[in-house]
Amino acid sequence: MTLTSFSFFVFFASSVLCYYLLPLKFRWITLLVFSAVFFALSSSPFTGLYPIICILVTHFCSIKIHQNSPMNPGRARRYLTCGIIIILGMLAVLKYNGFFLLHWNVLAARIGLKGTGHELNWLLPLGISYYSLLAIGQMTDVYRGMTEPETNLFKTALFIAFYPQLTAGPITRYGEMREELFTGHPFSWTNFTHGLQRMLWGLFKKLVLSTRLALIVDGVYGDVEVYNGFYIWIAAGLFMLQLYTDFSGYMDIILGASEVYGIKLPENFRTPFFSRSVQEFWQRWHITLGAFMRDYVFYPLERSRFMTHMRRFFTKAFGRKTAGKLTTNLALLCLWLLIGLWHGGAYKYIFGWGLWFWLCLVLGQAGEPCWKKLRVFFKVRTDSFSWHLFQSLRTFLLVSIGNIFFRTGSLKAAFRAIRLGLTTAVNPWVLFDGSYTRFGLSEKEAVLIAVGLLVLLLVSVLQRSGSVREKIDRQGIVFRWALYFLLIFAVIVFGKYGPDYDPADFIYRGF
Amino acid sequence: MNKEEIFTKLNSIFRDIFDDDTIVLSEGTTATDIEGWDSLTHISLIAAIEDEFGIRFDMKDVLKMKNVGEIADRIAALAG
Repeated sequence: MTLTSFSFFVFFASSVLCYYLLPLKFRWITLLVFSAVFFALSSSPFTGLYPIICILVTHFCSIKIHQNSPMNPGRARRYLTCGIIIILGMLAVLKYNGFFLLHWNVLAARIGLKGTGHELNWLLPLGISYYSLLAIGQMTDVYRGMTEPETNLFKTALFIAFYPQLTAGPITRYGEMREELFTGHPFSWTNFTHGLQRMLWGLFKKLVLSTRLALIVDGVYGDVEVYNGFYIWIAAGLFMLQLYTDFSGYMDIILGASEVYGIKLPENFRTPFFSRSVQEFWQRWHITLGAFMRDYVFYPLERSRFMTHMRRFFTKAFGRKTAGKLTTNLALLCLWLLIGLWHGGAYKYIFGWGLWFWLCLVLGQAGEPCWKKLRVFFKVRTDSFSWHLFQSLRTFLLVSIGNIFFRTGSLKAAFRAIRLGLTTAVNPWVLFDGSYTRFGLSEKEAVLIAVGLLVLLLVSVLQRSGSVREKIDRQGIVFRWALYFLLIFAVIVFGKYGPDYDPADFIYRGF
Repeated sequence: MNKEEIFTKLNSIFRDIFDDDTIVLSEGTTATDIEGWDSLTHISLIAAIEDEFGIRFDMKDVLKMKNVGEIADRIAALAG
C-alpha cells in the first residue's frame, strides 16, 4: 500500500476517525496499531522481523546507555557501539550484501582464493534505510545526554515505525518527536484542513507532474544513442524536476497526513532551486538527511582522535585556517561517500551523489579567490537579480549532472550519456520542434507540464515569504474553494493513472 | 579566566578563522552575524577554541551552543 493508492486513503480516513474518537492519552496507541497494519499491508510478513529487532535493540540499548552514562561511560559507549553495529549490520546484510560480495569475489580472484557465495536475495524490508537512522539517532542522543531514553517499549516502537514517515522519512529526532507523537492532539480544524491541502498539493506534484516528466526522462535515458546531444541535457534537467516533484510531493503527503493528526514533522525541502551554491542546495534538499549526516557522522568524524592529530599536524605545517579546511574537506569526503552509499550499493551513487558533490564543494571553495577576481574583472553586481539567477541556474546544472549518475543504470552508462551529450550534434531545436511527442506525450500534456511547472514556480516564490496555506486562509471563501476545487479537479482529471499507473513507483521509496 | 580575557582570545580566533579583521564579538553574536559561519566552519572554530583554551567540549555542547555568549560560558566552566 503506497500513499497514492485508493486503499491508502481508506486506511488513512479510518485511522483519523479512530484517532479522534479515542481519548487524548490513548491516541498514540491508535497510531501504533495503524502503523503495524500499514507495515503488514505494505510488505511481506517476514520482513516485519527487522523493525521488531530494530525496536528491541534501540529500546534496550538506550536504557542501558542511560543507566551507565554517569558512572560508567565506558560501558555506556560499549552499549552504543553494540546497538549501532547490530542496526548497521542488518542494513549492510540486507541492502549492501551484493555490493560487498562483488568486491570480495574480485579480491579473492586476485589473490588466488575461491570467491564465495551468492548475493542474498532476501526481501529488503520497507523503510529500513530510514528507520535504521532513527534508531542510531535515538541511541546516540541518549549517549550524548541530549534526551532521556524511552521507558515504554511501545512508544519506542511508534517512534521507529510511525507509518507516514516509515517509507521515506523525514529523518526525525526522538527528543523533538516525543511530545508530538505521544501527547494526544485535540482536533483542530486548521490542522485538519491544512493537512488535507498539503496532501492534495503532494498528489498534484506526483500524479500530474512527476509521472509525465518521467515519460520524457525514461524515453531519453532508455536510448541515449538515439536521443543524444541536447536531449541528454534536457532530460538531466527534467529528471531533476521529476525527482523534486516526486520526492517533495511524497513529503507533502507524509507531512500533510501527520498534520491531520496534529503532528508536525520537520520539513525536508525548502525551495531548493533558489539555492545559489551546491552547499546551499544541500541545506535545502533532503534537509533531515543532511542534518543527520552532519550531527552523527561529520561532527564525530571531525572530532575523532585521528582528525585531531591530523589537524595539529597540518596546523604546524600550514597554519590554523588551512589545517581546518584540510581536515574538514577530508571529513566531508567520507561524509559524501557515505551519502552516496546510503542511496544504494552502486558506484553510480557513490560517484554521482557522493564524490561529484564533494568535488563541487571543494572546487567551489578552493577556487573562490579566482572566482572573486573574475567577478571584479567582469564588474559583476553580486546583489543583482541577474547574478542570483545565474548562480541558481549554475547550481541547477551542477546538481543535474550528478543526477545523470542517479538516473542511469550504472557509472559506465552515466559517463556514456555525458559523452554523447557533449560530443554529438548540437540540436537545441528539439526543445521547440515537438520532439516530446516521440515519448508518448501529446501537445496538451506538454502544455500541462509547462503550466504545472509555472504553478510550482509561483508557489515556490510565495513560499519564500511564508506559509502559502496561511496566505490562502486570508483570502475570501469563494477564491479559497475555487482554488481547492481546481486542485482536486487537476489531480482527478490530469493525474496520470491509466494502465501504466503504478502507485508503488515513488523514487525515494526504493531506499 | 575572566569573561574579558575569554572574549579577547575568542575575537582573535574568529578573525583568524573567518579571515575578517573587523569582527567584534558580543554575547549575542550568532552564525547569522558572521559571514561564513556555517556548519562546516563551526567545527573548525570549535577545534581552534579547544586548542587555544586547552579544553574539550562534549558533543552536546558542540550541537547546542548557538551564540558567542554560550561558547564563552562553556569555556569559563571548562577552563575553570
